[in-house]
Amino acid sequence: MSTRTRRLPSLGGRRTLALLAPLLALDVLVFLVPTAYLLRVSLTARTPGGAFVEGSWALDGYRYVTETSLVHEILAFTLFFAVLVTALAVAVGVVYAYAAWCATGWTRTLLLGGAVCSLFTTLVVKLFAVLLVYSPQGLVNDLLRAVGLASEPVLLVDNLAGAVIGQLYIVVPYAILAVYAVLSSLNTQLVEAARDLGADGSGVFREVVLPHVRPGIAVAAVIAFTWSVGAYPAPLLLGSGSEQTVGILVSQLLLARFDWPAAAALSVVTAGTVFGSLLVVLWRLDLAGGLLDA
Amino acid sequence: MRERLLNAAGRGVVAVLLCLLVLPLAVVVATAFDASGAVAFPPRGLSTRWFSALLASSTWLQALLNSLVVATGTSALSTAVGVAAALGVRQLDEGRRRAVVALAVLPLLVPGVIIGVTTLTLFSQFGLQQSYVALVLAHSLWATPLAFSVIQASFARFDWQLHEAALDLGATPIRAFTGVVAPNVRAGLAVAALVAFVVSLQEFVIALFLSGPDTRTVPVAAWNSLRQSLDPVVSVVSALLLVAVVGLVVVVGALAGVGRFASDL
Amino acid sequence: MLELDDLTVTYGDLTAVDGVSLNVRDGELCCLLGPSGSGKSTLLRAVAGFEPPDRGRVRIDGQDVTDMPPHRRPTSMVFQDWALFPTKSVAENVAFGPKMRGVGRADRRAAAQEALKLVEMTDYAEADPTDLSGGQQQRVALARSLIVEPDLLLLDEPLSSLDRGLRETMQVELKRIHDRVETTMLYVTHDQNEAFTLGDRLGVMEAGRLVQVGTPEAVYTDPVDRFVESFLGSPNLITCRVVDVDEGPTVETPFGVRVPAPVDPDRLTLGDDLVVSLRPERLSVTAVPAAATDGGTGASVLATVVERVYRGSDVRLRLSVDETELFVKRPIGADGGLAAGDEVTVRWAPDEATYFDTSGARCR
Repeated sequence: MSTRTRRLPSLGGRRTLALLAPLLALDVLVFLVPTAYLLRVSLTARTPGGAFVEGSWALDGYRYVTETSLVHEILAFTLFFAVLVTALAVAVGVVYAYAAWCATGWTRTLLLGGAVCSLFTTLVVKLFAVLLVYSPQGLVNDLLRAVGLASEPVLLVDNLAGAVIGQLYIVVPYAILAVYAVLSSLNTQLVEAARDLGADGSGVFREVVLPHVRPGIAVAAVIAFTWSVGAYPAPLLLGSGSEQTVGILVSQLLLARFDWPAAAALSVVTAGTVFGSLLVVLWRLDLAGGLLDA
Repeated sequence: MRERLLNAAGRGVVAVLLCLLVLPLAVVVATAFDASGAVAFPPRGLSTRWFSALLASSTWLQALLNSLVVATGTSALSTAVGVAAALGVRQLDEGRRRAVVALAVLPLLVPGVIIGVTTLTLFSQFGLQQSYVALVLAHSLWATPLAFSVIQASFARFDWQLHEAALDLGATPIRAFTGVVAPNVRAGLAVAALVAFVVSLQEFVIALFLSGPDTRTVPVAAWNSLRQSLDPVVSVVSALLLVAVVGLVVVVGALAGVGRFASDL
Repeated sequence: MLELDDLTVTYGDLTAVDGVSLNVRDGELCCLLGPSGSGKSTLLRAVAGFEPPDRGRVRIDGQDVTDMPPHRRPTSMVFQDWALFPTKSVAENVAFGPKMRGVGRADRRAAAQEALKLVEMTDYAEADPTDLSGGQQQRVALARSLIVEPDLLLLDEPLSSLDRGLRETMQVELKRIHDRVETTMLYVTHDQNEAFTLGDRLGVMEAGRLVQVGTPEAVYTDPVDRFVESFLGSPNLITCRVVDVDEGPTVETPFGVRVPAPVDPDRLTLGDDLVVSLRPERLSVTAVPAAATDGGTGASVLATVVERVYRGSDVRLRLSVDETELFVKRPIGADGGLAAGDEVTVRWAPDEATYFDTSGARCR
């Protein structure tokens, strides 16, 4: 009896598989297969006439990526941009989530509600509004002048600052909620214990809160970093045109120049860079476990 | 106790952050009612004429319809797949469970541009680019892991002994789920469905790659319009989207509590 | 040492601590005893500085600390679930207080070793607190609080999550440590035995008020009101009716027997209720045939044994008299080998019973 159940997949096992099948099918068919196909396209020959030469094998795409200095510059800028946005987003996310955690009643609802609304607002709408608010005639500049922090309009759009601000509006809500999700499991008694043993507000934050939210910070950083490496609309709309990212270049190659091997190769290199750097960082910080739990 | 952890400076910083976070959203709504037609803030006189302009525009109405179709499809697919998967992983051991969760979460870690490019290259092989199916499948790639994790969290709060009791008392697995489990995790299922709906409704980059003239969603139409000229109808559409999203968030918040909702997300 | 003066803490409409005044002496271990929801933990948290009082003052060593934030107070607290920092090792947990006070790394390591030695946990210095058993976590929490040499150590039901055997071991251990360090301690518990074992003095709380303070013996033998009597001592609270006031106060029990009630007649009104409390260990039980010779002038009543529980050190009897149940505790061999169903005579000396009027106030 026991040997039979061990050899044959039990009814429970088959049911588990059936329940997981839709998820696996979705991820395999719409994600893994296209990714494999992209890999294949990146290894085809370029052609001036169409998208790519079917069935051909070539390293044209990768040669383009490795040999074009403009691509190097764009890759370097993209990484710089992503790191900058990630650092700012994580800092804002931690401070904001901590404030929401400290708050009670309506204040907390307001803080979390604001983050959730921003999260669920189409980024096109957000960027369009950010353009209005941060433009030289916009509200932020009005406020800066009103409180005497600036006499001249400060240029906050059509430059790097604009691209960064726009991208922050996209990733900060995710960062806030990722940190808050972990923070919400922090036992208040630990905070009280720290206070009781002589820790002031900053001591509590440094010694109890920060160690606890490390997994949340990891998730926030991963989201902010990967999405900023793929930044596309924010630099396009709020940058000056010299804030070219990999995402912009890929879409140009694909949609305007019909250079599919180059676009595919650049996508593969970018995705590889993202995952490579994430693995290194996670391995160094030993946070992978926390990431999957969160 | 907690309230006293933040000093005045900390509170000030957070108040500024909150204002900066929601200010653009408020501005969008305000400009939708601007009479002048200039996209500016603060508005110089109130009018609803741009709402009429929206209703008269077949392009925008088509985009609204497209968005609703894609979001509804994504919501249905993601929730169904999410429920099945959340039930499935309960029976897996730790290692396999992690592998499944990792696979489900992986697409969330890939920038939209790259998802757009990869799905476009494949779907175009089958002539599926610019179709609703392509959009729903691609959006589900992002919506499913979110729905899945919300459902998992709500399953984790459910007392599964009740489910076992129902099976023990002779209920079929399907009856046990619909009769005992579903009513208890209803809020979680609603949250998951709404999250998936909103994820699709607001998604832009993937849709930019995958939608065509007939399947263009609102964000894509807004983007195209913005790239050409600052059309006040964009404000109106944005305001409508925003109000819809805020409404959904309020509903969801009421169903599940904002704090729990935010920490489930 | 610790002086509480009219301390009041409210949550909205609920008054959790209601006008409590208490003096705890230097070096004393004072227990706050009360059922859950009586406000004892809130009182402790107010002393620690976690709950701002609505009224009243908290003074420690003559210094008013009412408006002082928790991290400046000369107090330290052992939490109910110990609240060890899960991200820090045992030694780091213990060294936390000195670290917050700016003590250098080497010095605080040494101090942590010293504190761990006191609670016999030196072998676990590098362990992860989540890997420790409940009793071990309890010791670490104690060391973590003692290392900062608080003027006043606050303990919030620190043993309530332990199983019974361990709890008794830890009570002895706590007593030993208290004798060693001579720190003043305020100890909250809902367990009467724990309070009696540990407390030099104890304070009984009910509904936010501190109703009685005294040595365990004084509180047990001389409860101030009906609440303290029922919480600490007696399950046998019998509501009787006053049937005679002037000719030697007499009450009628619900089971019809009239017994003398040696209460000041001025406090009695004919026809009123009077609650008579009979301590289980002060009731004597004899088999009926012996009782038949009794004249029946004292306080005695016929009863039926419902249950007999042999407890090793004593025997507990549950008796029924009509609708009323009586609980009796007798030394081994003093109950004459009774069994369920036996008819017995229960006797008590009216002088040894305690009496409460309808408001719950003690009459005698």
